[in-house]
Formats: sequence, C-alpha cells, structure tokens
Amino acid sequence: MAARSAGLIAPVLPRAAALASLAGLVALVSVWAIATGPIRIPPMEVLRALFGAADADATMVVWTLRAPRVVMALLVGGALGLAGALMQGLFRNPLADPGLLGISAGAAFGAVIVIVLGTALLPAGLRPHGPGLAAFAAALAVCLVSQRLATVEGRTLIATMLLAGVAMNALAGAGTSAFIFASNDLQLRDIMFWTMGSLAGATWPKIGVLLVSLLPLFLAAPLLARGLNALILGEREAGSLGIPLEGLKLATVVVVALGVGASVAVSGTIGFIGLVAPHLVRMAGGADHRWVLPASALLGGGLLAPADALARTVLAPAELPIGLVTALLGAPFFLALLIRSRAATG
Amino acid sequence: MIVADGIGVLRGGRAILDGVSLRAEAGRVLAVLGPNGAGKSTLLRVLAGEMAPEAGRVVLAGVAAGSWRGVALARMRAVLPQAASLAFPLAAAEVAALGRIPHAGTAEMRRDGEAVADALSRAGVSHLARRNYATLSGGEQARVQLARVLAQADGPEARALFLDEPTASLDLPHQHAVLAEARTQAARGLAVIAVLHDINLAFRYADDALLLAGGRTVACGRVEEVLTEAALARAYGMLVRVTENPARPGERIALAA
Repeated sequence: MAARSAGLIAPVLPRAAALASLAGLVALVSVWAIATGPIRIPPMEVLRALFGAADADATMVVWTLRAPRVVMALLVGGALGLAGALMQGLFRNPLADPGLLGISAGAAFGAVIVIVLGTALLPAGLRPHGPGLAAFAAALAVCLVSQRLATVEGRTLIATMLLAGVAMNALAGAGTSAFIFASNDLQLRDIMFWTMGSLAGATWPKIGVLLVSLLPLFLAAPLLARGLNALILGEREAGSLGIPLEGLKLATVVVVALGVGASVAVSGTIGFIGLVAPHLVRMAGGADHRWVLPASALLGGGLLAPADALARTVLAPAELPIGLVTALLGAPFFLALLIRSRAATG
Repeated sequence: MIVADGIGVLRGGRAILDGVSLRAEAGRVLAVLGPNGAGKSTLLRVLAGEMAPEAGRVVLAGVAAGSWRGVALARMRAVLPQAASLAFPLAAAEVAALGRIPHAGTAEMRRDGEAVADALSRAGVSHLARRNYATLSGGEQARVQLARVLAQADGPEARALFLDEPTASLDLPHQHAVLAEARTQAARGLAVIAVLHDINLAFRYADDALLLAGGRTVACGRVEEVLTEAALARAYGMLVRVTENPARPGERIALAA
C-alpha cells in the first residue's frame, strides 16, 4: 500500500493499457455529453447518428449542434490539461497552470481590447475573428515578455519567470477591468464570454482551425516528457543528465502559449482544468511525464466535455458560462482532495 | 582520465578557486578534501563539465570540457550531487531509472531494466524500489540517488564518476559500502572523484587526494603524501595526528589532537 500513496499505478497497469482505458472512459463521457441537452437523445441513438444510421432529426442535432461542442470541449480541455501538466513540470510546482503565467488573462485582455476599441484597423475578412486573433497574439506576447524578463545571459530563471507571470496576470486583469469600465452593455456581454468562457461558438470550421493551432502543443509534448522527467530531480541534475535545459524551457513555454492562446481564442478563459487534470492524473498513476502528459490531455477533455453539458442544461434554455461551472465544481473538489491528502500524510 | 590545469572560478569578485590543477586517472579513486567553503563542490562541478571556469582548462577523456555535447557528456560521466528533493512523488526505482535518460535511443537502451536493477542492488536499495522516494530517510534517499548515478554510468562510454559527499547522512556500514562501490567502479576502469569529509575514509578507499583550502591547493598527489599532519594542519587550522591504524596494520588513521 505504500506504493499506492505515492500514486503509482505502474505495478497495476502498464502505461499503454492505462492510457487506453482512460481514452475509453473519455469516449463514453463524450457520448453521454452528446446525448445530454434540451432534447435528450439516447446514447445508442447518438452512436447510430455518429455513424450515419439514425433518422434525419437526430443526425442533425448530433452532427451540427452537439458533436461540435463536445469535440471543441475535448480539444480545449485537452490543451488546457496538457498545458497545465507542462507548466507544472517546467516550474517543478504542482500549483502552476497556464493561468499562473498570465497567459490566459493576457489572452482575455487582448480580446477585450478589440471588442471595445473595435476591429476597424483589421482587413474586412478578418473582422469577425478580431477578438480571437487578438487573444492569440496577446497570449504569445505575454509569454515572450515573461520569458525575456526572466532570461539573463541566455539562462531563463524559472522563479523570476513565475514572478513576472504574476505581474503580467495583475496587469492584464487591471487592463481588462479598465476596458470593462469603459464598455457599453453590448460589449459587456461579449467581454463576459471571454472572461468567463463559453463553447457556444463551436462549429466544424472553427474546430479545424483550432486543431491546426493545437498541433505544436500536442506534437511537442511527447518530445518534452523525458526532459521534464529529469527536471523532477532539479535543474542541475537534469543538466548533468544531458538535458538541453534552455531549449526545453523555451520549447515548453512557446507550445503552451500557442495552445492556450488558441484555446482562449475560441472559448475564452476556462480555469481549473489545467490545475486539476494533472493533479488527478498524478494521484492515479504517478508522476512520470510519459504518463502525466498524455493522460492530462485526455482527462482535461474528459472533464470539460461533461462540464459543458452541465453548463448548457442546468438552466436551459439559458447557458451558464463554462468557466463558472469548472470553478464551481473544480474548487470544492480540489479542496476535498487537499483535505484528504492532508489526512493521509498526517 | 581527467586533467585540470590552473582552474580559477570567481563569484561576486571573490576567488572561489584559484589555480587548482589535478589529474584523475582511470581506475583510481581521487578524494577531494578540505574545510567547509574550500571550493570542493565548485571544483567538482568544473571537473564534471557542468560549469565553465573563468581561468584554466579541463580535459575530459581527451576532449576539452566545453566541447562535449550534453548527452555524450552524460554517457561519459555521471555526477552525484549533494542531496536534493524531488518536485513530484516518484518511486525509488523510477528515480534510479532517470539515470538511463542519456542512454535513450542507443543500443544500451535494451539494457535499461537490467541496469536499473543492478544499480539498485549495488546501492543496497533493491528492497526500497517500490517505495515513494519522499517517504524514505535521508540516508536511503542518498543511496537511491547513488543508484541513479550508477545506472547512468552503466554503459560502454562511461569514463568518470563524480561523487559530492557521497557518505553524508549515511550510517557507518553504508559509508563503507558506498566507497567500496566507488572502488568497484574504479576497478571497472572509471576515474572516480569523490568529495569527502572523513580523512580516514580517504585513507581507506582513495588512491590519490587533493587537499583544498580557501580555493587553493594545499597538497595534491598520492593519499599518504597529501594527508600529512603538516598539510592537514595548514588546511584545517587544527592539529591532527596521523598514525598507523591499530585495526588495520599498514593503513593510516587521522585523529584530532
């Protein structure tokens, strides 16, 4: 039982089998999320619709209304879960998440600027995507500024970067508040979408763009796992194991910025997934990043999809902001975990 | 073989190391001794190629320290730093397995499982393999870290082993077990460099010694020539008696006078 308290599933299930089981679980939850809504569609009917064997009404609801939202939830949740796991590994801190570096707040601020000041400066074709593009650009800008601030003589000081992130967070938050103060009612509703998050805008073309933007994050993760494992020992130890530390730091920060920027651009800021998913994954299967990274991506999506199903059904026909749901469910759950682990360690 | 020539390191305008030279030969154990703050750990980092000195040069296995590529360097030498804590909970066996990272993608990778099991057994921690590292005692953690370093050094490219106070926080039998293992690694053909505080462990297990004080060499050479009463008095500012070990004829022993 000593090994269980370290959160080691390895003796029970090989990594591939554990990941496959988790993926299966996420698939089940996704079907449930598609089935859930103002019109309830039985899960078997959902499966038939997905494979084109259901009647036209069910197929229409599943393919054009529900599936895009669930797929978007899986992608955004997956990106946030994975980004959280990468940040925690890089900062050697289980409390790090994409919100901590000011990436999410910066992205929301970027969107808010465009919403309030308007898109007049953009080419006509890009105007509907103005806030999304601004969110993406701002996420990258925040990351690069933090990275530059924390880099001295070619070495990035991780603790300084964390502090720079805290400052960027405060700055972006203050900026957003200032623009909210100056906005009109219509703009305010738009702003709420960005600061509290929503998957209501999901469409297949958006999902296509999102998927492409998330590729660097998803493709880079397997290459970063080994370096992050070495980093569990400490920076010096990782260096003496031959890990190119500065490259690892830069690559991690850049793919996280790209991934979180793209996520915020389509769905606004959604908290807690990036913090909670890697935690649960480590508790269930240990801290080896070859497990933590893919499992956090799966679980992040597997948490966000049902959270979104709740967001759109609890007050139907009105929708709760998804960020509200993840915080309302995530925070007490997280506190319960803390209390339990406190009791376990005495 | 490791050759260092005229090593100088400055930190905040102060010389941490000044003109230190040494040769560490394959198959021999070199002990680095000296009072706290003498620059022993800094020297170890410079010798291991982890840190570039302001002055002097280091040649590792025939190649200048600065010219080694990270992974090749990690396969050529392993470094045991002073105790550190982990960022996330890992099992002891997982910690030891991290030592195999430099071998990923080489033919050696097939031997990962075998190398980790062997390293755990050499460090005497096989029975702790499944335990959470964070719940182990300081001495047990130190031996798990040693296992990681032995797993790293288990490959055809290994030439050197650097141990920074490998006996700190260990009980008496384990101090001897760890240094006996250092001798075994030297017998395998590695150059072993260990920072030690215990003069008597140096007499027992080291072939050569470097005595440092204030960043400068007090004496360097064969252990019995270096660790003399006069040199120890100069390095530590304390009278030390060196005599024959009554328990082991022919071996020396140092006693605080």
